[in-house]
Amino acid sequence: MVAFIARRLAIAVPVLLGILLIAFFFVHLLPGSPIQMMINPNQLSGPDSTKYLASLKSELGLDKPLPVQWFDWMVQVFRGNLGYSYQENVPVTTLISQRVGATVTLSLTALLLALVIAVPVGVVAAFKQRSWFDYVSVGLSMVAISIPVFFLGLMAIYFFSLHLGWFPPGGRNTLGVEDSLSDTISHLALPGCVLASVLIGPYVRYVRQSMLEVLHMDYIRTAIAKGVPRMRIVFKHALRNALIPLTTVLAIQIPALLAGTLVIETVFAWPGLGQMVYQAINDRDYPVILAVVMLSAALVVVFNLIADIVAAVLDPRIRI
Amino acid sequence: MSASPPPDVVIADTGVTGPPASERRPSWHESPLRISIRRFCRHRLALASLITLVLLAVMAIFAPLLAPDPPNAVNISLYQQAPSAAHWLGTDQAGRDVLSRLIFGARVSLTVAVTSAISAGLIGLILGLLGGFLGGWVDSVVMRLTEIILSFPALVVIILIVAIIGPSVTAIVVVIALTQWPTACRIVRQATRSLKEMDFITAARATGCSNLRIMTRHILSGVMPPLTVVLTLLSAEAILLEAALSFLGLGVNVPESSWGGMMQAAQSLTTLSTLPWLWLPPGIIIAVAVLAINFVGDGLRDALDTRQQT
Repeated sequence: MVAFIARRLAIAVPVLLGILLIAFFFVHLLPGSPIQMMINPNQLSGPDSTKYLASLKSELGLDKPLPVQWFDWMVQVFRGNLGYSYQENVPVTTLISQRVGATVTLSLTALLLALVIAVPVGVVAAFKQRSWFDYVSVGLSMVAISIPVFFLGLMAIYFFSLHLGWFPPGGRNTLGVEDSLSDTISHLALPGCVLASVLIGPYVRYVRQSMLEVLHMDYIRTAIAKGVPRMRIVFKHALRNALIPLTTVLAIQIPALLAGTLVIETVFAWPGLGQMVYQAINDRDYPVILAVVMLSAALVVVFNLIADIVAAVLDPRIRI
Repeated sequence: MSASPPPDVVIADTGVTGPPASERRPSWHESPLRISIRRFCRHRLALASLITLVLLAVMAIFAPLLAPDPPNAVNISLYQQAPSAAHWLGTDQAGRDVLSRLIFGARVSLTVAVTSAISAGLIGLILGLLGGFLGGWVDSVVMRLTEIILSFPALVVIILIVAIIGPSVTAIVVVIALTQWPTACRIVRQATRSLKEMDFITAARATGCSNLRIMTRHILSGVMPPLTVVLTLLSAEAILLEAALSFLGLGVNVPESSWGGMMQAAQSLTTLSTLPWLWLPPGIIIAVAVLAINFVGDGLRDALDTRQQT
């Protein structure tokens, strides 16, 4: 087990460094100087403008060669400093910590909702293979995969908010109203469900596929031959093994979840990280984009690692 | 092998003249291609989806003939009109005909889908062949590279690069290809690894084939079926990415129409509630196109007998 974890770590480290390298260079290739974005244009025409620019440039470390900048930046990152927002002049970590709660709430809601719906549906679809339930659920999950997430969001707002008036069209709280659980839930309902639909499609397909594979194994036939009740076979014998691959799938779907969050937060004006990135790209606020890109990629690597280890704990065959 | 006829022609032949596919027995002289086509035709949904896609492609190619109005013709006196006999899907805020923009928008979406899927497929094919066949450090490098790229949320990276090189069809294609190739690469690598253990490769090596010849001639043909399936799924993904990008305002240049771009106006709640004909049709057509591609991909997977690789 220790050897397995060590081997996975040896793979994860170069991947993480590669992510940091790519993220750093991408953001520095963006057009438009970040300096232009943060000073008053009137100061540029004054006599001290060049000197002022130069001092700003060195203050931000932008005059050093890129590899040096990268190294400096990584040292800072490992100290927990993700830089300062050019736009707001506050540490990026502060900005992120203000926003991360909203994003985590939204994505966890969506993830839980997706699992609660997809696992039973996938299990029943596999158990009753080729029944109408199987066809309908596989067909619907295909439809869910094919609809653009923002279109689903727009339709949800159009019908459930603007026409039926059941839910607010966006935001996280009603302005001027004291925070209450029911207010939060009503704001969370639409974006949560729409985001969940992004995940439900792939999950149903994976659970069904994995369940089908397990149901065709010899030990299931043995259990049937022994006369074990059907429900017991499905839930006790088959489901346990069928859900092991789902740990890996959960990790694989995290980038999709994050990308979906970006779009959904924009559609529903949800004050999370996605909306912040969208804003930061318009403002050329490099450190903010960099931090979010890097954090999300690092999150993916870490979750992949955890998923691999969990899968190895649950299924000893993987360790080899 | 003789040159393969265009698939849609053959499908029309077998579908119309032959006896029902299920009643015909597969015969030993039937070529793998014919077997695949027969299996594909048995998949009703896939066949219907293929026809839908052909219709969409025809619509894109003959857009200037089919569109009732020029897509960018501004007519302020006709702005924001509800659907009517003159304008079947109404007009937008600049008085442009929505149906015409929808028809022309197919060009952008389908071009992006096909070219970016093929580009991603090519990168994935080359790296997957090299990694899978050569193994060793080449394989490690290729695999780490795919892991690095798969760790990024593709949409965020795509938004970043499009902001760098400026929004255009070329930029979007390049960026989608650069972020989507790992999927193709992994499938190709896996197929290559199992193929290279087979006896016919040993035989080819015994007759003195070079690595390059084995890869390009013997392994390539075995890798094509799973790659074809991945290409369809990649093109579906490409349409969705282009739509999301255009919706967020980073798509093709205004005033050129694209399905995602047409929905951008719906970011305002007033437009969303009062002008549904602006954003409903493009959304529906994107969903239909992507769904059709996905069903064709499913049909191909069954027809080409490649198991789903996760």
